[in-house]
Amino acid sequence: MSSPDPLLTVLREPGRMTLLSTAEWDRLLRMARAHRLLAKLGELARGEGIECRLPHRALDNIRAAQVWVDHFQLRIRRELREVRRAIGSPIPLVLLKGAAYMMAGLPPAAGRSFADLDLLVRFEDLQTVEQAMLETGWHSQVENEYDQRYYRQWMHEIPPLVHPLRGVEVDVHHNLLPSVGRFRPAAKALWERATPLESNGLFVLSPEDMVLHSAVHLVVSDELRGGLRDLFDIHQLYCHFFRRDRGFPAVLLERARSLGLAKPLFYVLQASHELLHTPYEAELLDYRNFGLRNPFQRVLMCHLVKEVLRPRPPEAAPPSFRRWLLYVRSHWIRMPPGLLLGHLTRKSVRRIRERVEEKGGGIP
Amino acid sequence: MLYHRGTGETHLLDALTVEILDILRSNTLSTPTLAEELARRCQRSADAEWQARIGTTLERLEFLSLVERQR
Amino acid sequence: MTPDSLGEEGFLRQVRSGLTIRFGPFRICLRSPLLEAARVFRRLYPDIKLEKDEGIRDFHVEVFPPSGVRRWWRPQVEFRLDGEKPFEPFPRDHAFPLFEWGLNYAIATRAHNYCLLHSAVLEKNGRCLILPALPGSGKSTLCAALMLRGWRLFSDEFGILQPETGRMLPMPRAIPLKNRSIEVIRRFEPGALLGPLFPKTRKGDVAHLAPSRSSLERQGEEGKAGWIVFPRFVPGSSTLVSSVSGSEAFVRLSNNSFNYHLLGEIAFRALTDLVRESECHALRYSDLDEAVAMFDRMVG
Repeated sequence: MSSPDPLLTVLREPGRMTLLSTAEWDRLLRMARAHRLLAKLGELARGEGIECRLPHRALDNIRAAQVWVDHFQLRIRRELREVRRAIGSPIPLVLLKGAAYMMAGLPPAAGRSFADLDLLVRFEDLQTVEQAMLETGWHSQVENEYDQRYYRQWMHEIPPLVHPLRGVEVDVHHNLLPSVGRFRPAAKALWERATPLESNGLFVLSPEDMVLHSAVHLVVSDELRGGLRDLFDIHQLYCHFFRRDRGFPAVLLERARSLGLAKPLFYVLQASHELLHTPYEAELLDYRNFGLRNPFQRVLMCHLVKEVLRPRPPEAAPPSFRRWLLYVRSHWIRMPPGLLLGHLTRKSVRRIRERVEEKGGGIP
Repeated sequence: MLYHRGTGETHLLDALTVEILDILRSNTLSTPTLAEELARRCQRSADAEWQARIGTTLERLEFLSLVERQR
Repeated sequence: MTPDSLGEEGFLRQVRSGLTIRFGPFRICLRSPLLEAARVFRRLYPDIKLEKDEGIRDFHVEVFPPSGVRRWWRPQVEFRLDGEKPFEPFPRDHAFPLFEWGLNYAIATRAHNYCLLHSAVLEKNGRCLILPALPGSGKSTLCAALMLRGWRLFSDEFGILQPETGRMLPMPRAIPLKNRSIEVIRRFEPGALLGPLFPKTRKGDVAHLAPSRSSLERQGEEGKAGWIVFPRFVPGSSTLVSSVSGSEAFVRLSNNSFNYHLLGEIAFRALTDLVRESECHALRYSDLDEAVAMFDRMVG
């Protein structure tokens, strides 16, 4: 399916940035900003060696976004140093998502903004790490007792920690997904393949687990906004790992099956193939390799995931019904249904209360 | 004025602190050795009061992530 | 083409469908169906050059009545920036101040390709006078008075420093005068072109002073560093100038910048250069005429 969408066009073929009219640039900049991909455009242009051929005004906007990205990358780097210092070196840490791409020097890191530091620790180290961080000045972001319990009992992470002087949210996970959900990858298996970085005690997930984590996170996350950025991460990761190792598709598929994550991987690969034209090998596009027996579910989910991730012009309303469907689904995946009902109603009540209590917006 | 690339923070430093950072840029030293070197540069004696002053300054610099204590 | 040359009808039509204007380095697309706000805009910027409504716009700004039931029982207005709504709605009468504040918000949160100082800036003989905005400085009043006495207005709110060149960029806009300073400026210059009074906004009573014609005409001309002056309005005091050390000026300027912490090293270098090339003073004043005379003497 061809699309006149300028954002998808340049994500597929960055070289086409030189062919856009200024009217198309105007649209592209707004869409890229809304999807947190503005600084990425600059990196893609640099990669093609066409940065100097972009319109000045476009470059100004892109550079402004890059300043923001550089700032956050610096903060995350520093936060990581502080965490290391707080917990001491014998405890191994796996960096996840943005921090992993950055510290491992992978392509998605360039021009990517991230506000949080996501870490994976072994379950047996969880308490030590949390204690050490609380003692060195981090505060738990969750005071409400229900939420604290929700995290401890059901989630795959402890409540987010923030150091008040630096303001970076640190999410310490012990698994990639909640302990009670439908998909439950064994954390042990992830540790077995984790790749050490040069720095002492720091790891990143193996290439296949990295792609899997990103894909599963996209489908299961209840925050689908800005999902296109995460989809582009997967696109860049796949292209990078495939260039390094032609056997990567087979490894990925095998791993997805053995961790029980084949379904979500399929939906996401389909979406990135259709939206971003990621050049997957045929075996990764054949649903029969993913154990999807229910054709109705397969078609519906592929459609939903793709349409929710499709970029929208800034003036368009979000596809709220689709999003709601996926929101409910993402929780259904993570929690048993009875628990879900209680959780959703409590969350909604709290959200309404917050909205009522909210004070007027600030004006500079 | 000092901009620290690692933390992205700017510091306004007095002359003594600038000297400390200048020395530590190329060396790792113990507090007493550092205090002696500084005393030599400032042409004064490295007495207990001086040692204590250098110690406090180092603690403050460590808090600001400008120097690291070796374990 | 200017708001004046379009005629009121034509201008209102243009604002409804989308008006592209240039403020300093930025191109802005403004859309609003609200006649009153468009009339105020036309009164304060009669001679601003309108651009073709196309090409890259840095900010797409809409000032619209919110959709939904609420507007029926209390008329309101909403600011939208590229489809996002950063603020709660305002009372409908305050649409124009909302546009001006909203645009400031947009610039302060986005234009990080520049080092953005929270200062008034004026120019004479190619050199810039920077008046940092500190509580009790009276910088808007001072800035208005200097503009009315022939200084070229760069901005009442933003010192836009281009890090690559070290030049200051102008962005002349209407100056929002608050509370007592409205009357002070009226008395200082009875011929001053002021917009309507907006009573009881979130910043008190506000009336806007139009930027001078020459400031708007020359908004493409940059300026070099000149003077950094920290003013303090002290009732009953005489006009007193004292010098300020470079490091103190640096600390006060950087603390008062919109994006110093974001730009990091870039801002550190740009600001140290700016301070090095400027004369730094502190000013105590109470009489506006005397203060203006002092600034004119400073230029020499």
